[in-house]
Amino acid sequence: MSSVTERRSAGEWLQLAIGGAIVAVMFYPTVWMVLSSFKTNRELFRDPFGMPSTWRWSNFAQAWEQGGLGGLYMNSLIVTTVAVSLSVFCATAAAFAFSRLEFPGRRWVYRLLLIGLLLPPPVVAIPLFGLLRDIGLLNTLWALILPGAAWSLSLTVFVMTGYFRSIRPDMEEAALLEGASTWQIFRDISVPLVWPSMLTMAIVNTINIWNELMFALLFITDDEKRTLPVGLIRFFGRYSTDYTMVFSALTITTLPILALYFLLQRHVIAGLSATAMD
Amino acid sequence: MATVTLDQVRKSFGAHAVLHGIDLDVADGEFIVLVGPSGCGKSTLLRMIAGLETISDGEVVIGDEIVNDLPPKERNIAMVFQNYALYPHMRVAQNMGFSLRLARRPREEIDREVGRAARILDLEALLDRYPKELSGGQRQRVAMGRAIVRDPDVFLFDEPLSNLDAKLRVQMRAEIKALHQRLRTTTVYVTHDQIEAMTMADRIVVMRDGRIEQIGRPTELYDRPVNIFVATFIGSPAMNLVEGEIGERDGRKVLNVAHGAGTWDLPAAGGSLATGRKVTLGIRPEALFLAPEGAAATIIVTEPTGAETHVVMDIGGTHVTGVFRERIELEPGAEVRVIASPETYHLFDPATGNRIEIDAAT
Repeated sequence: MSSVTERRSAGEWLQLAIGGAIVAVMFYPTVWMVLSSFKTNRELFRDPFGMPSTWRWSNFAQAWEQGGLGGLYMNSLIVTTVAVSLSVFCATAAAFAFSRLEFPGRRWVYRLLLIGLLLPPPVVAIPLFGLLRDIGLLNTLWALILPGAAWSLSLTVFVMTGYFRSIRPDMEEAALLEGASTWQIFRDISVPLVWPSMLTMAIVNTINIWNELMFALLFITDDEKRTLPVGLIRFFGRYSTDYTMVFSALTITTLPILALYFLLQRHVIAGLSATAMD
Repeated sequence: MATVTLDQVRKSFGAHAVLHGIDLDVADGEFIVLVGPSGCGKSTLLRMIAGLETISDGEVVIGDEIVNDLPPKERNIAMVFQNYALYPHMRVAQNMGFSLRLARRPREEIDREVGRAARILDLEALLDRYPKELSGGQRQRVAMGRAIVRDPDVFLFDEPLSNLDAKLRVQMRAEIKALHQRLRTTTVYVTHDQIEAMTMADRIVVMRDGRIEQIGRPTELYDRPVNIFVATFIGSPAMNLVEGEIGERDGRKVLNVAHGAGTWDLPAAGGSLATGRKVTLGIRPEALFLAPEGAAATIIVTEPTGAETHVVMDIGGTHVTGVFRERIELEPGAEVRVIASPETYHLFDPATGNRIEIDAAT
């Protein structure tokens, strides 16, 4: 016996087809990158879109060795972990204050903070360079951590404030009556409640900070302090480029982010689309 | 335990005043219910007692202390919220013991107090569960348990039963009342359900538009409502209101009801009412009975409930509901005659809506 859900209308098939085509177009470059990373340079130019004749896993080891990816990886990991932790914690605390506490100028401070959403990075790059130089942070990982965290703050505060506002304050009020201080309410009640949204923003910020290129190019001059996106430039020579190595290194670089996203995509989508909770 | 006194308490949100000078004395150990339609200010008043809303003017006194400027945690009150407000990431025992943990009480004491509250509310088997694993009634009991653990001076309930189904509501109503009889803690309870108010309260406060309409024991409000609003708000089905005029028959004052649909006797003291005076007659549905000398009525709907029959009738263009103990099997459109005993009348001034005290009327 066929159920109603088994039969799809022509419209639904069309929707599926269009959706499938969009996914294919969006995802193909990634697939192409991964496939190319297994090829030789000659194979890459002879048949750029075909499957590799042999799966050369050794390309990855070679790229890791040749590009010194270990050091780049470690720097990226440090910068991303510290910056994401900083931004998500500070933004959650700020969102709690903006949505739950009464203080003079609350609305204006919030609006001021959101201006950050409108600024393109090149606008602040020069002043930021001067600032970091003056406080002696230029050419340290802090030169990427602090601007990275600050840059993520506007969006994270914006999303977290929306999430806080969608949650009834009853539980926090109950805790207030039970004798909790503002800090205890934040730590013991609010953070566990907004945890899904924090996780979402952590993933979004990880992707942004992990891939950040411009600040990393401008603020770091020592080779051993570079992060992955800048480090990949090592593979581009003046006269020739080893594209297989580039693709292998790119695959290694992209893999953790892809894995993180696929592992937690349910939370990302749920967190971004949550507008109301009971 | 403590008394709660409200002295000319006012609340405004900007230019919009929501409470206009509330005076109320709640005795030590009393169960008082604030009742009124949505938007009447009852929940705001409760939150002001709790300290969750600021007080625009007036004083809130708990025990001997003015608490206007005291933060909620220093008022020693416990509140049960409409949607329970249980912490979803904590187990039942952690929810109930949270206040004691904040107060840095020893582990053994927390366990003992949580155990005591769990025994009172029959929650012992649920202590290791999360709120999402509980039914609505169980969550409600946990919310009460959390309040009991604190041994507060005052319990505040903000429409705690409105999320429960009808059967569970009746059960929880009895449980809350039994709990109060056991603990005798001063309780302020907010509801929009007059049945809850009638069945649970020592005294009821009826509110409308930020003002108190009447304060009294449930039967007092039922028997002697001060105005049409209280008369129709308290009681289910609601009190019937019929337009009438004082007339005379055989030298005695009578009441011509519903534009001549009938002429009913007035109580003996009704002689003091001026002939020709317009009045609004209030009659409880259960005070009506069928009698040949009654006013002409046409049956609109009969609703048998088993124990009694609710009959909606048309008397001179006014719809009137009667509640009869006997089983009445009349078809819609049937003609009957209904009357009420004069001593069950409530007379109101149609202009002001206020009760006319027949003894004092002229």
